[in-house]
Amino acid sequence: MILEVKHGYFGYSKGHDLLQDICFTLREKEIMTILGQNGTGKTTILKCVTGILKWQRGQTLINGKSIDSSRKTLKQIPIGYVPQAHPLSFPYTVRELVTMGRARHIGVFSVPSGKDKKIADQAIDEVGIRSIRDKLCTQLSGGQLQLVFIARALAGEPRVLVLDEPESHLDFRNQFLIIKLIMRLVRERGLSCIINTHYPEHALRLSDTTLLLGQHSYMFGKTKEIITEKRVEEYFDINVKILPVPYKDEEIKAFVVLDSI
Amino acid sequence: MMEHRKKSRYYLSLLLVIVFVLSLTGCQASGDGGKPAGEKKAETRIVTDLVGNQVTIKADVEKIAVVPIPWATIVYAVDGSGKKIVGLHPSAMKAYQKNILKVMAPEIANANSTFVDNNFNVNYEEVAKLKPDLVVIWDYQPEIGKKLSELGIPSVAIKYGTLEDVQNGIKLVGEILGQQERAAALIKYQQETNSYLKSKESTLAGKDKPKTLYLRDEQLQVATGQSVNKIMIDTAGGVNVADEVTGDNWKKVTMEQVIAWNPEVIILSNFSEILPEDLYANKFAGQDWSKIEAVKNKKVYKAPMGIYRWDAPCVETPLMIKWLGKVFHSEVFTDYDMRTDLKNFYQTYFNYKLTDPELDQILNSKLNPVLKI
Amino acid sequence: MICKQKNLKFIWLVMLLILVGMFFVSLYGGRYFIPPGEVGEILSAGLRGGVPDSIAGSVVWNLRLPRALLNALVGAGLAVAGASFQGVFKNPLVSPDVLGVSSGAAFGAAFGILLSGINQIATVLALVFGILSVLMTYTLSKLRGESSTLALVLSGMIISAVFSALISLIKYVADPYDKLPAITYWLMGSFASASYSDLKLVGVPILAGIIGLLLLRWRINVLSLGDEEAYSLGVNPVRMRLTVIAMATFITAACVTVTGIIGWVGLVIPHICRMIVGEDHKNLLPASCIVGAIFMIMVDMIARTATAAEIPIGILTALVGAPFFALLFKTSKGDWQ
Repeated sequence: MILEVKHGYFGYSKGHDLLQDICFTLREKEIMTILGQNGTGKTTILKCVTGILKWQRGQTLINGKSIDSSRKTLKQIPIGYVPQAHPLSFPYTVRELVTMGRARHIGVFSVPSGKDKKIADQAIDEVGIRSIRDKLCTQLSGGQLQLVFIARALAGEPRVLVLDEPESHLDFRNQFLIIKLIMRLVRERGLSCIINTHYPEHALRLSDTTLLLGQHSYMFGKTKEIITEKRVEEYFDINVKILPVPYKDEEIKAFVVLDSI
Repeated sequence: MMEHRKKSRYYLSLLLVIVFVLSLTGCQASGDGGKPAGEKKAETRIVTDLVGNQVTIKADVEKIAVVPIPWATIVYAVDGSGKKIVGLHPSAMKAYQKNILKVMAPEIANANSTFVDNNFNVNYEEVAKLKPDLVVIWDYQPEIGKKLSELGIPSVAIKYGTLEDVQNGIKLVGEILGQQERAAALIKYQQETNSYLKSKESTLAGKDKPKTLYLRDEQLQVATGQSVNKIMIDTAGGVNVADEVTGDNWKKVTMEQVIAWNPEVIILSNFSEILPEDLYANKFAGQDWSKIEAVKNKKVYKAPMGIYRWDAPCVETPLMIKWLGKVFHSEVFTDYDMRTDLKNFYQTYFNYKLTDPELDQILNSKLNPVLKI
Repeated sequence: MICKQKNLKFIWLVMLLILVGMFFVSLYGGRYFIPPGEVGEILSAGLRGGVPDSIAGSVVWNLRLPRALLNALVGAGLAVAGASFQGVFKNPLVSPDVLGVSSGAAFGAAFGILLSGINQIATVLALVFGILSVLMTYTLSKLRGESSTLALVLSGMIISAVFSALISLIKYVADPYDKLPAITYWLMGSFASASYSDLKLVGVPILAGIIGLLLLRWRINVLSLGDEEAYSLGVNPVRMRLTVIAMATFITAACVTVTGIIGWVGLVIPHICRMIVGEDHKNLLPASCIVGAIFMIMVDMIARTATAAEIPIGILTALVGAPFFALLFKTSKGDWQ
């Protein structure tokens, strides 16, 4: 399965396009990261891809077929969206919330069937939150809530998982756990992933391709080619050194900020 | 704004000075026992109203504005004319336009009925424009009295409730208008009615008192145990079924409660358009009158309306009680001729000769054919 | 507080039993005493088509039965409309009249009473203005471009305020002896005029609305997450929300039309039900129906039997509802924002 975006344009106010001529391709089992400063439109790209917002020009294609992101075909888009962890208006239980991920598979006048509940439970097990599944979502920590949202997206049985800054607001260890979980899901479920992140380090470690978003331009390509010391300086206005850290058979890249404080 | 306030302060101080000077000269005059020649003198006198306030009023009261709804007609009755009434309540005006008073006192049609609204709020500028010599208010409106006195307009308070309150009110109005004799005559008529009814007491004691429901409207508002209508019913030899209901004059009850009471007589008020046929035909949704004794026996009557609704305390209240006596115990009140009495009453007190159709109109005879009154 | 699946079945059973029990208690109780045995006889005779032509027969069959049925219908309708509104507006504090339907209907009724007294005209005007007010609210919210939830609620406040002012105007000009008491009583809410013709008039719309909302009950969960997440879960929130609002509004308008304004039921009952069956609208909506019906039958029974004078039911629901809501406010777990 291939997801492509061709010549996507989007702006919140007339005459000013926040996103201009966005093009990228996501192949099966690939992870793509989107990097950029605040306000460059990272979240907007995700919303356009998932159909929450509509490209004003251009389109998203899946396997070469345009997903008319008009709300009609919303149901057929095999994309699971994981928003940033946010408080809920109603204290649903974890299970109830995850089951809502089945919405696109459940008829308008129906309620979740036994099968839907089973799939939701599987998603809960898959992200490892079985122990909290009867708790109220309002009583969870930020990390737990993020996992609940991932489980909810998985319950919809997506082919592509779209995550909006999944590791932000999390502590050091939880950031690592989320990243590990995403890698595992891609491996085991054969999912493709688009992830917004603020951490070039994570992008380097995690992704195959990267879209680097600036104020008026962007770059897209293989992560290793995109994330260089020079580009980080160009797009983030900060001097860094990327150092290889050998560990076992791998070479892990570390970022060191050079600017004096 | 400031300008205006300064001005009014100026007028107020001027007024105070004039009042002061006048009172001085007044004292002097009474001391001297003579009037200064060539000077027109605004004579005043003091009356005590029904809440005990000493009110200074003009000796010659020419213009009266009346806030309490039934009291415009009392002023009319005591004065024998409506020409001194410059203002009355909008609801009183509405009653006036529907009843015989319009024929008897066409002059009231020109009176102002906007100086007070349906919620008894007084429009003071409107009152000031009317320049009444006196405003009649309810006993529970001291605020209005205070405001009016700030405008230099005296007000007298009257009470609502018992028949005694009405008589005291009539006496007060008589005093104000200098019509003490007419007022006394009206009160005497009331007292005569009382003694007439007293004379029937022993006969009535042996009789069954008909269970009576005094129904105000289709909302099932009924006269409570504290209403003036209860007093009327009791005096006429009936018993008010809603005595157990407390609270001011009218209270809403359930149909089931009415069925539980099962009244033998139902009196319909003139405060709404409700008619005996409405109950006979069981017209109102959610109510079932068909099993009620009074309805089965066709004993639902529309109360009369003379110069005012007889449902409320007014100068015609004695007539209302005698009418109720006829309704409850026609065999006891055989010596009483309602139509003649009514005719005489209007002739004596209003100097108006009622025709037979007018009598029928007042007594709602067409709506109450079984009564044969 | 939230109950497991097994307990839930038991709870449904208990709630239904209380509802049936309460319904019959209300047929047995009233100001006019009828021996319980006779009530049973009248009911069974009535069901066979022959109500005894007696005072007791009339009281049970023509007064108490239609009143209890209307109690149940209106209680269930207002509560389920309230729960749905709270869900689609993502706000547990909104009530069914948030879009101005109550004040619109109240104005219509007051206007009708002013014109021609209490009759069918007032009823029809109430329904017409109830629906008109919501259409006005919706149009007003559209003026800003898209119809966001906030725009809808604010527009509802504006329209409500306008109609409230118009009601005051009508009360101001109404004859204090003739029309004003009728209007005032109507505004305080009452089942006093409950009749089979009322049931015929509003039974179908209220029932249809309730069934419609019950069918959509799980979808309301998704709507309660907000528009963006609904889209991302494959649900078009705009159309779905309008459908739910339309049905809930229709129920409310129909209820207000026959009973006047009865506050607090639509706000408080859903919260009681949340404590019993949890947050999931799949359970919350049916529970609201049952508990709403129980509550209304109960309160109306107090209204018509406590004293010889009838207590306006709107006063009772507020007296019971407001303190309860305060308690809830103190102990609730949800994020009320």
